Amino acid sequence: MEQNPLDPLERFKAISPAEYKAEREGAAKPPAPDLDLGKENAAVETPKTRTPEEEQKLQSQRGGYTSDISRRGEMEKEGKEWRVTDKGFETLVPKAKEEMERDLASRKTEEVVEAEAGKEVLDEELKNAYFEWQDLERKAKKSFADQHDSLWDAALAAKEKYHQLLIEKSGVTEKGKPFYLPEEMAPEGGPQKYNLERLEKVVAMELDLQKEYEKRASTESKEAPGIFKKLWHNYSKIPKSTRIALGVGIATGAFIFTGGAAGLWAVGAYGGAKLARSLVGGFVAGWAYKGLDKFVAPFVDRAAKKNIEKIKQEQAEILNDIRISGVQKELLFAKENMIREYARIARQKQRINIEKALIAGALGVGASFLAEPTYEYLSEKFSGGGAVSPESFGRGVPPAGSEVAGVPPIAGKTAEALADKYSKTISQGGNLWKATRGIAERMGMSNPDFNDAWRDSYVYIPEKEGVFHISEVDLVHPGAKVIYDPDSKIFMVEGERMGTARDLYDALVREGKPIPHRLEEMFGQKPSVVGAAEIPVETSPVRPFDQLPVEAPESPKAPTFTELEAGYPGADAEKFISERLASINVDSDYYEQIKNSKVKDLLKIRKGTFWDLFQHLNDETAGRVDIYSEWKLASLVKAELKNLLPFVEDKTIDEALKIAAQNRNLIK
Amino acid sequence: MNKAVQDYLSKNIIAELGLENVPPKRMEEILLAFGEIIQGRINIRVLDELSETDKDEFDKLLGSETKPETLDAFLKSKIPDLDNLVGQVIADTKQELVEKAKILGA
Repeated sequence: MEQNPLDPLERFKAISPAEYKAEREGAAKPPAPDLDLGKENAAVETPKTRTPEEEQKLQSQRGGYTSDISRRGEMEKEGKEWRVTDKGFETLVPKAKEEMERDLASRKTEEVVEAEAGKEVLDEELKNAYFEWQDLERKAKKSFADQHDSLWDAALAAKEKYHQLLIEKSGVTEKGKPFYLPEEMAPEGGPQKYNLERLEKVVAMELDLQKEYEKRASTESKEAPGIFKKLWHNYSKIPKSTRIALGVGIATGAFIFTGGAAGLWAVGAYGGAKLARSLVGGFVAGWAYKGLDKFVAPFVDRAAKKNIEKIKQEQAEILNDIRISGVQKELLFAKENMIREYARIARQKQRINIEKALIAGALGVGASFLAEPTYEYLSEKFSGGGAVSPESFGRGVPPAGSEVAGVPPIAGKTAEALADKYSKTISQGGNLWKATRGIAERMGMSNPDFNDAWRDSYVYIPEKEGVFHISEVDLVHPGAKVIYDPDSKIFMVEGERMGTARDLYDALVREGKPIPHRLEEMFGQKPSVVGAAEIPVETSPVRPFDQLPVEAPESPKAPTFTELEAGYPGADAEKFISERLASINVDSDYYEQIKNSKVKDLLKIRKGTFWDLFQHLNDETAGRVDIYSEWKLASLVKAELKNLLPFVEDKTIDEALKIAAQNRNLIK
Repeated sequence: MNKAVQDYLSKNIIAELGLENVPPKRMEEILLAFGEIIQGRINIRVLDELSETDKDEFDKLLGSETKPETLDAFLKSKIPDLDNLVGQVIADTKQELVEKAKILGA
C-alpha cells in the first residue's frame, strides 16, 4: 500500500514512543512533526496568562477547552496547530497501532476468503479449457471462409473438452444423474432441491468464468481498458426489476429483441429505454416466473381474450421494438390472476375426481375445505362423505346430493325431509360447529341438550364400512345444509346417512351388514368385520388436517404381485410390471416419466402436513403431475414390496419393481 | 437470422430445465445471473467487432452523458448486423446453459 507521509496513523506506525519523544526533545528548534495537519514548521507560541474573560471566551471558542491543552492532556496547542503530547503519544499511539493491525488483518482475511472462494468455483484447468474454447469460438466467428471450417472444428473440440472436464470436476456420472422431481412431489426437500442447487452452481460458475474471461479481454484491450467497466456501470444502473425482466424475457423466449432493443442491450443501457420503464420493468417481471407453465395451456377463453385485446391495445405504442409471437403474445398480456382463473376452471373440469380421490383417500377421513375459500370449487360436487374410497373416484364420483350407489338409508332418515326451521346453511368461512351452534341458539336449545345432540350424531360411511362421529369427518362445505332432527335429537347433514349410534347399529343388524368395531364395543355384539382405521374421537370439530395420517395402505382390488405370479411363472419382469401397473390404472407414459425417481422419494408423497397435500393440488400441478398415479404407485410399493423395502429404498421405482418381479417369493 | 437461432431465441428454457416452480426469490437470482452472463457475452462480442479506433470513440461516448439511443445509433453504424449478433449471442448462451445443465444432470 502506498504510504501517505502526512497520514498520522502511518506516522504512528513507523515510529516508537521513545523515538518520538527524542525527536521532540532533541529538536530545540524543531518543530516536531505535526501529526494532525502535517505542517512541519508550525511556530511555537509561548503560553501567556489570560484574564477570566479571555478564558471564558477561549472556552467557548474551543468547545470546552480552557487552555492550550486538552482535558485529558493528550493534545496541546503549539502555535496555531494542535499536536499530540507525550501523554497522548503513550495513550493514543498504541490504540492507533492496534486499530491498524486489526484493519490490516481483516483486509488480509477478506482477500484470502475471496481467493479461496474463487478457487473453489474456478478450477484453473477448467478455466483454461473454458478460455481456450471461447478464444477459438471468437476466432471462428470472425474468420473468413478459407479457415472457417477448421476453426469451428477446433472450437467444437475445445467445447467438448471443456464439457468433459466439467463433468469430471463435478463428479457427475451419466449413471448417477438424478431424476428431476418437481418440488411439490418432494415437499421435504429431495431431488428437486438437489437439481436446483446444482443448476445454481452451473449458473454461478458460468458467470464467474465469464467475468474472468472478460477480465482477460479487458487487459488485452490496450486502447480502451476501461470500456468494459463503463458498460457494466451502465448495466448496473438498470433497475433490478428490469434486469430480472430481461432475464425472464430471454430465458422464456417471451419476447425477442430487435431494432433498438438489441442495440440498447449492446450498450448496457437498456434501463434507459421507455420500453423498459413501461413494460419490461414491472409487468413481465411480476408475472412471468409465477406462471410459466401456463404458456401453452389452452386456458384462455373468450372472456380472457377480450381483456387481453384491451390491454394489448393500451400497450401497443410501446411495443415497436419487441416482436412477440403466437400464444405467448396473448399470454404476455394476460394478467396472472386471469390465467390462474382459467387454469382453475380447466383443472376443475379435468381433474376434480382425481383430486377428490386423493384428498379423501390420503387423509383417510375425508375432506372439506371449510376454512379454505381458495379451494371452494371442490365443494361444488363434494358430497359423497368424507371417507370415500379412492377407487370409487377413479371411476366417477356421485353427483352432489345423490346417495351412494347400493347403500340404503340405514337409520331410516335423511335430512332433506326435515323442516327448514331447524336447519342452517354453512356460509363461506363457516363450519359445522358454528352451524350447529347457530341452530341451537335459534331453537333456544340448552347447552346440555346441545351437548347430547352433538354427542349422539353419527354418520355411516359405506365405503369405509364404518361409523364415525360427526366431528370426525368433514362432511360439509360452504353451501351445505346442517339440520337438527328433533325426533332422534341429533344433527344431520343433508345427503348423508346419519343417526344415533344405536339407530345405526340396529339398522346394520337388521340388514345383516357387518358391524363396525366401534358399534360393537358400544352395544356388545361381536364384530363381524373390523371397520376402517380407528380415529380418535374428538369432542369438538377440530379439522383433521394438521398432520396427514400415515394410514395403512389401501387394499387394492387389483391383483397383487403374488396373485399375478401364478400367471407369470417365468422371469418376464417387463410384462409382469406392465400388467401390474395397468391393474392399478397407472398410465404407462406417465410411468416412463417417473420410473427413474427413487423409491424413497416416492414414499415421501404420503408423509408431511396437509399443506404438502395442498400444494399438490394447487395450480402449479395442473396437467403436469398425475398425483393419483403417484399415490397409487406409492401405495403399491408400501403394501406389496414391504419385505423388500430396506433393499429397494435407494433404488429407482423401476429397479425396485424389477427386483420385486424377479424375487416374487420374497414379496407379499 | 437463421432458423436454429430463432428457435433457441423463442425457446422457454425455464420450462425445459423444469424450473417453473422454483421459489421466486431463487428464480430472481438465477434470472439476474442469466442476464449478467448474456450482458457479459454481448460486451465481448460487440467489442470484438469494433476496430481499435471505433473502440476509442465508443469509450469516449460511454464516458460522457451520451443518451442510450445515441450509443445505439453509433453501434449500428459500425456493426450493421448488430441485431443478428445480439440474437446469436443470446441463442448461443441459452443453448449452452441448457447443455451444461443437462450434462450435469441439473
